[in-house]
Amino acid sequence: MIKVALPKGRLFEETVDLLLKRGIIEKRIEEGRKLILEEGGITFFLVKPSDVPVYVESGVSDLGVCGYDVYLEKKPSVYRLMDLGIGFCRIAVAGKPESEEKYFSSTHISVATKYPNIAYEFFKKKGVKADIYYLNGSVELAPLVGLSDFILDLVQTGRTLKENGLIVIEEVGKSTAWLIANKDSFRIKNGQIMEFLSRLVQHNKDGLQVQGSS
Amino acid sequence: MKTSLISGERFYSLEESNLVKEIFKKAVKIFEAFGYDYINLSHFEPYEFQELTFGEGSKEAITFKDSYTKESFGLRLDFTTQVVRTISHLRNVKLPERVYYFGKVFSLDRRGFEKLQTGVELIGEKSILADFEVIQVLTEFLKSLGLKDLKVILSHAGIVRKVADEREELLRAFSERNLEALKEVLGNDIKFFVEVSKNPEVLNFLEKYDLEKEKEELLELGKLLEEFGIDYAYDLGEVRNFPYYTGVIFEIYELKSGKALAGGGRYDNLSKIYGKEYPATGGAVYLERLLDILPKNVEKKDYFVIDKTKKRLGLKLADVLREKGKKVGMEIVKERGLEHSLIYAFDKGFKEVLLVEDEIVKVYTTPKDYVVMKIREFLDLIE
Repeated sequence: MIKVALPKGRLFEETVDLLLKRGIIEKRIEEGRKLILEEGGITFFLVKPSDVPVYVESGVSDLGVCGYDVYLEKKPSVYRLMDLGIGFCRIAVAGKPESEEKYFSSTHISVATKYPNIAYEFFKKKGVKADIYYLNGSVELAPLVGLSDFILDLVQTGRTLKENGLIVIEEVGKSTAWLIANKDSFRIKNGQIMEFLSRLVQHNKDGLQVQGSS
Repeated sequence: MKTSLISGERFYSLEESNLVKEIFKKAVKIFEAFGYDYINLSHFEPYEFQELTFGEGSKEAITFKDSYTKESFGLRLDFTTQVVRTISHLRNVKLPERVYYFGKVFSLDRRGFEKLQTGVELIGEKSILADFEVIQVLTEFLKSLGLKDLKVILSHAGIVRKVADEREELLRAFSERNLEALKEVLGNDIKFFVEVSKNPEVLNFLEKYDLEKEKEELLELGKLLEEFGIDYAYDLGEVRNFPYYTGVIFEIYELKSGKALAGGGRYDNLSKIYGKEYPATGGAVYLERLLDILPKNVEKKDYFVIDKTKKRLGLKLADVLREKGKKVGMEIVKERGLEHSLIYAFDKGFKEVLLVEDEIVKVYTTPKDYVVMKIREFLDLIE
């Protein structure tokens, strides 16, 4: 039986919708206390989004649904088979409006983020020295209380930023959810994985739904 | 209290250590049965050469600088390069040279700095028979450890290299198996790169990319494996991390655990880096993965001797038993009561405990049960 790691939280509903739409599962699965669910001959593990690559890389899960942001941050040794076209958001640098000029003129800034590796790579490429504060949540608070000049975070609607008086200053990249695969499973369970894939990419009324992406 | 642990190091329990030793003994037996010689290698490689052989991967090397010569060197990153470098400096090499090795490779891999490997290299022959032999030896070795359900996944370093044609983006798409990015360039041919199958027809499309040689080699190797009852499949989209591969590459999977236990391939140009020119192929077994799946049975030791005599008859008895090939340990803790000695001995895996008192010996088979006999009588019972 094929095992799939699903991210809890904002991506969960969208993923389940997609699986239902493609007929991969027939009954909706719910996010609750139960962490192992079986449906449509597939075992699903419900895990924290940033833990999905851990389960897949280790081979505990054969497949996983993983945000590109998480993939970029963790750089797991897995296959990144296809963009599922769901969970779209932007990865961006944000800050107070009055800091915008400082962002483009300073050689040394400070940034709070849940994505220290993405931040490090991004500013290294830009040639800007950045002190990075690694936070687990409420990142928007950092520039308000003076922990950092800027934040690097996911932006979906931009509402949280707005409510905290922050603006997007520079876009780092776009993120959507990808189907990732364990490298060994891809070879050993190739038949089952290809079957799963072919159902995901099957044509429907909307035409070929697989979207291009970054 | 300070801790003496290093995050990247690997500790082995005594049971695991014993298994490592048993695996090595099996390796010696099987590899030598195929006519391979043991080669004992240096732990170091010149860093300059690590850069040449591993490219980007050389950044993972654990490096040092000799403060006198100012030369940089690194701990060996893998065995293949070390074998080729060593052979290139040996006099009186008679090709083809067949060697096997056992030991650790080192890198700054966050999952562990040191990895145990054993494997073989067959240097000086370019025919597909050599590739087959390497796969055959490694498969036999894994089978000798009691592993069944093995499957060889065959690929060819020339395929992706040719199709990607040094286009960085495409190469990356191959190594990530990013199906969409691949589809954009390859169109419907993509299916040949994602299907893992035994069907030789998947090889037909190789002609379209002028990969006749690769096709022939994979076909021939498949036939040989078939003939010798080794299960296999083709995976043409594989990219291996080692840039030195030039021909057939393979991994051997154990299907129950779903893990690759061994891998290798052909590297015909590697020796040029060391000023030599011979084709070669080889492969290594990933021992850490074997440790995860093999049972860890420690072989029992024969006797634990507790000497209660003034004349040290127990010590002498132990010597006699060892001469007869028995594994014998002595009780050396003086202040321990008999009961505790017995529990210790059986916990430690001794089959019997011999309590020696003057001319008699009590032979314990459990901490509670024993038979009494004269030392002479006991020795007569030992074959």
